[in-house]
Amino acid sequence: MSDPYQILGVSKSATQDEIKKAYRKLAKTLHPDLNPGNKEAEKKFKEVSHAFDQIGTPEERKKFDQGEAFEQQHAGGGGQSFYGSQQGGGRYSSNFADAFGDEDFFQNIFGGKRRSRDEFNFPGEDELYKLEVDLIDVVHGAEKMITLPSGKKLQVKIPAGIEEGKKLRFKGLGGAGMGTGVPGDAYVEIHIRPNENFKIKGKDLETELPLSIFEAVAGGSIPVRTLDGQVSVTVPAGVSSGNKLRVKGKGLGPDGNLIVIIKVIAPKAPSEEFIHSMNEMKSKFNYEVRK
Amino acid sequence: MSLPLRQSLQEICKICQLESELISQFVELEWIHPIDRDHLMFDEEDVARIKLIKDLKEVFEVNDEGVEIILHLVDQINYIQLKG
Repeated sequence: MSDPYQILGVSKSATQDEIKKAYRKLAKTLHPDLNPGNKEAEKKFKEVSHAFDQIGTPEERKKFDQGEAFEQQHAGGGGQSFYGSQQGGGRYSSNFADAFGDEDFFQNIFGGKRRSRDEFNFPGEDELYKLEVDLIDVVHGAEKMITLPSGKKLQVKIPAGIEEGKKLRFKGLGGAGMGTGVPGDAYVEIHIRPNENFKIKGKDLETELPLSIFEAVAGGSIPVRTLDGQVSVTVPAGVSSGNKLRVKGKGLGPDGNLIVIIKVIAPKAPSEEFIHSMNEMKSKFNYEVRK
Repeated sequence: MSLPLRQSLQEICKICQLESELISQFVELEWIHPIDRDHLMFDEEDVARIKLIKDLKEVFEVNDEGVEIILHLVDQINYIQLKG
């Protein structure tokens, strides 16, 4: 009597998992449907299958180990292979051409519907256009004329306060569809050109305000450049570099502010006379800055 | 021992050692086309195909999408061979 352990190439103490893996490995190279026409492989596959039937489950293995004869649970033992059933013109093979023909099999598998080759309806593609605007356009809003990739001209209204990277959608103005497919949409992506005088901080704008040492000490009404003009800002006495002042309503949008950052600048190459005067002042008004 | 020409679902379950729900599922998925679909009667080709599907799922642990692809390829090989 043949030994199923030997046929499968496993030891008598092999785990069920090891037995299954051994069977799987052999089945790959011997299965008649994976090796069609190989009579020798088919014969060996029947032996290997029978061996697996005898010890493949814990129940059957126990019976075999105890010396009980293996009973076929079903008629015909392993039965014929599917390959064997198709020889001489099986139903499945003969009908193959009718079932699939020239159709795209994978289209059917992965959810595509059958499509007649005469009908070809596709929606148009969306188009993306990157539009650069100036900061002033963002503050007040603007209208720009652009030419889309398709060649279409489009009047774009830029709303005031629009954010960097925001996309404006224009339905149906993208690529044309095929057949009865609807046209795609056009998207206009807003990019704000960097401004050398102003930085965007959310809804606010930031700008630097250079002050002389006299202005920093004494304060006063100082003109400050805004995006759309100029305002007078009251600088308090005794400001230093880095101090911030806020100018209401002069940022982006109606509730944005202009943040003014003080930058105190000493004179370049002061004269001897200036230095002398400053030293006289120092002896009178010196104050500690380093603690 | 040769199988009779047509067998019922119940008889096939015993032969193939599978639950009737599973075999019915194979029919729904169109993995098998029983010789008599209305009365769910199966012939020896169906039995052999069910056994192949069982091997693919249980021995080779192929997922459903894989089973479908493999069945298609096997049918194609057999068809090509038939056409000569």
